[in-house]
Amino acid sequence: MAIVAMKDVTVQYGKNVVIEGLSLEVEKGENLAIVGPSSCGKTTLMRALCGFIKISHGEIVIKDTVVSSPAKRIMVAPENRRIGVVFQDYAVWPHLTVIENIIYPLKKRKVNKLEAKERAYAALAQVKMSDFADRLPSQLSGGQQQRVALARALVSSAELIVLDEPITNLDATLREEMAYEIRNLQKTIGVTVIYITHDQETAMTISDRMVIMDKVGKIRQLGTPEEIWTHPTDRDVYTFLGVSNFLPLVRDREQVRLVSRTEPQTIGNTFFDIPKTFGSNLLLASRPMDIRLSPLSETDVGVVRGVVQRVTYLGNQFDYIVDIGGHEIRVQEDSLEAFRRGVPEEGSVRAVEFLSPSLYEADAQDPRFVF
Amino acid sequence: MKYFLTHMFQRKSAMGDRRFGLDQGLFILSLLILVVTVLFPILMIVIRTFFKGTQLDWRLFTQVVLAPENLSAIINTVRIAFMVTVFGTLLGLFYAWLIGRSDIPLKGVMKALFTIPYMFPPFFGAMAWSLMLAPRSGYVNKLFMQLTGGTSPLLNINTIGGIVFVETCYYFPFVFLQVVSALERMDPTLEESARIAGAGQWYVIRKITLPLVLPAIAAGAMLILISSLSHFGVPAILGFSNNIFTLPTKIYQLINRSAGSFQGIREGASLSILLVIVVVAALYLQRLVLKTGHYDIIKGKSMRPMLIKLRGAKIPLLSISLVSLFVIVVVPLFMILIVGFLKAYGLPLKLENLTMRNYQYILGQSKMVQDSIVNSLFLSVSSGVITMFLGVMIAYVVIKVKPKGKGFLEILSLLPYSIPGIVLAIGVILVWSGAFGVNLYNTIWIILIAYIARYVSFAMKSASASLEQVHYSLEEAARSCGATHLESLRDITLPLIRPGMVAGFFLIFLPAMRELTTSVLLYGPFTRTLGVAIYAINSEGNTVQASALATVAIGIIVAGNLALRFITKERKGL
Repeated sequence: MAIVAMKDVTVQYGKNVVIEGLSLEVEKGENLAIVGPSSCGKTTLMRALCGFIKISHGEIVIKDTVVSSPAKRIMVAPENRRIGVVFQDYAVWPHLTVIENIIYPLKKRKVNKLEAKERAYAALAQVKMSDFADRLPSQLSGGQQQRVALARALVSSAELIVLDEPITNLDATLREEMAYEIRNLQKTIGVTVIYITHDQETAMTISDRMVIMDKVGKIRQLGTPEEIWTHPTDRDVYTFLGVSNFLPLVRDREQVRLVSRTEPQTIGNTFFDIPKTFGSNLLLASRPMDIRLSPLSETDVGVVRGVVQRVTYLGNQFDYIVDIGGHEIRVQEDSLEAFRRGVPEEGSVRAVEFLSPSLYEADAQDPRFVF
Repeated sequence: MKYFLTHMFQRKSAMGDRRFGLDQGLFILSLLILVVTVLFPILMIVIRTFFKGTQLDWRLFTQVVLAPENLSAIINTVRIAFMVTVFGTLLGLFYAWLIGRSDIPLKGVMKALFTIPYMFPPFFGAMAWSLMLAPRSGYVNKLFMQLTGGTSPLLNINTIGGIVFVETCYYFPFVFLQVVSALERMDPTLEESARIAGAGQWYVIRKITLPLVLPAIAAGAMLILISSLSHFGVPAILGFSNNIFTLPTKIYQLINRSAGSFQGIREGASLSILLVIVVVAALYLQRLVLKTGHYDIIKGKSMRPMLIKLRGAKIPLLSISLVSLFVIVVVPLFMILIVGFLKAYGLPLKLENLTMRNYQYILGQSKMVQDSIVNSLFLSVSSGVITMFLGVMIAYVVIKVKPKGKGFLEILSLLPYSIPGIVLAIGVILVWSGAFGVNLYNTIWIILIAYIARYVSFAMKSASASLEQVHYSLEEAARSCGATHLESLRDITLPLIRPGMVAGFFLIFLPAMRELTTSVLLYGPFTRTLGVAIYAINSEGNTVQASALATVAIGIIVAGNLALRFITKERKGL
């Protein structure tokens, strides 16, 4: 059952359209990450959901109740939406102690004092902050304030919490730990989490489903982290997810030819079907870890050949820059694997094998096709 | 069930809409109050000057401007303000450099002395110097004549020079404070690298330090200029007896002489416009000067500057500054204190001539004085509270709500800052003495309204500073925790800015307690303020009683300042 449904939501300030016609459903109990580059409207989306801003068009429904709908003249106030929110800057109230911060939402919901205290301390224990109940926020570190904000959100709503870039201000180890704990809490309590971030790596580790938004506030792809990682819908999503190589290909009747400044090379089209709708200019997308370099043997015909330009040892892996027909690509190889198979020398020619490439249609003006 | 839920939420949504109504309400209320208290008086001055009935009529204005006595008042005003600005700037600069960049000892004592002129109204100084240097009766002049056997006084304070001297004593801290803070924030390596490159000490001061603090000097000098242009107290006390008038005192005289007749008020309004034009010209000048000098090398963080060793000049410079500060700051206060205990003005300053009678009279017998103290306390506390809350509301609307038209609101709230108090008073008279069906003339409420208009800029600035520290997510967090808009203001925003509000209250309470310029035009038979009472007793010639009452005022002001210091220190702990 969808706990949140956004239907054709548009948010605009004057003529400036931040989000246009966005539709999205959040399933009960899932952890949905909304990912996108900065200023793509994801924070605006969160603020519209929480009721801090009005939407210009469309409808937002929380648990079968319409909370925002300009057409029906409905705008439920933030305090009546029952969403726990963790803000980017924590927004822990500096004049209240930790426990007062956490009790506040219960006080506003008219929970009786004894029960409120019990629940607040329980939430504090959940985020492992019991020892800090009577401190003031100014006496806490950023990570600890983060936990207080999380506990306050959990107390505020046991059903739906929204986290806005919650751990970007923390250092790397703390970030990993916090991400794990958020995941863990969500699994044990069963609360629905909407997690807003620009950091696609954390989003992958933490979420059940991901939404990839683009710069203009549109949803590009929605799916599980695995689906998105293995089948990015388009080149932008592919690029957004990590370091990517694109090789220009031209389809010539049955053959697929590499656009090359040096010797002509063909690529066997056995491992992918080219959709009929695609034009003749194509891009082969691949990740550095998904490319294998092998010594060239005499019998190899029709393999892609590349010249190893640079070899860098990074400790746990090797990083190569390989030139294929005038195009530089990055290749990475596990160190153990590299030592076992032999580290290629700079200047040597290798057979290049793409393990699970994706294929996209190229733009008409793509410079890689022009000589 | 589902229907019920939907229904319930829809009802709540109506409340949600009312929340947007609260913001809108605050905006409209702020705008309304400012239009009534600030804009109406100013508009009324313009209308009464240039319109007769509904007819445009320039004659009154040109007639008033071209009257010889008014022309001389304009010239006096500009002359005095110019000289006060020059001397005040030089004096402030000298002390600022000594304290900011030299190794002179006793810096703490000197800095403490500098805050004293800030606390007291300049007209106390005028009274004190008059006690010493009035041509025939001043104690110093009498001593001089005794010693020389002559009949000509040493100095006459009832001159333009005397007015310039007293105003300078009270206004030089404007430049001093601005420049000291600029020097403290300036990167000392800028000066050090010049020294390393071979520049001499004097060269560094002229070519490096001075140009860098120029914007601070300009800002301070303009504050002096504007304050002096619109200043009433000192020229009123020192100039009247010698027929020396400035624009503010001329306006006062016009209104006073006409005993509140409409023609007199109209003429006063015309002169007010002239005064405003002079002030606006000065403000424009300031903008021109400040535009040319903007340096980013002055940083927010404070560093320990290289101190210049005074060596042989240390003792002479220290003596000069201590003596001059003593003369400027301590002597006048001492004079007022001692004269307050004298049996009669003119008696030698001996122990047997001292008495408590003046205090018994003013505090025990004079109904007028008692009323004035009660009035001033009432006005200061109520205008402090009202204006502080008004300032918070306007600042909240400008900073957090940001409606269309917030710029207009901001300008309105900062306008009184550049409108001389005496002009504001005339505007308030024009609006609140029956023109719109409400006649508050001669009541305490008209003074309260004028105080609110006068101090709303302070309150707005101080409230903005504290509100900007409160990030909007703090309020939104409360909303998402189930607090209504009003509750989030009450539970989160207001407690967070409370220390700033208390400090803001005192920033209004203290100047209101000693206010003279506005109330002197607005008081009625039973609504004298402390400042007006002192001024009136003094001009009636009851010098000893005026001094005693001034001492009482000094006591109240010192107590208020101590309270303010205590509170602002508390805030640091939060």
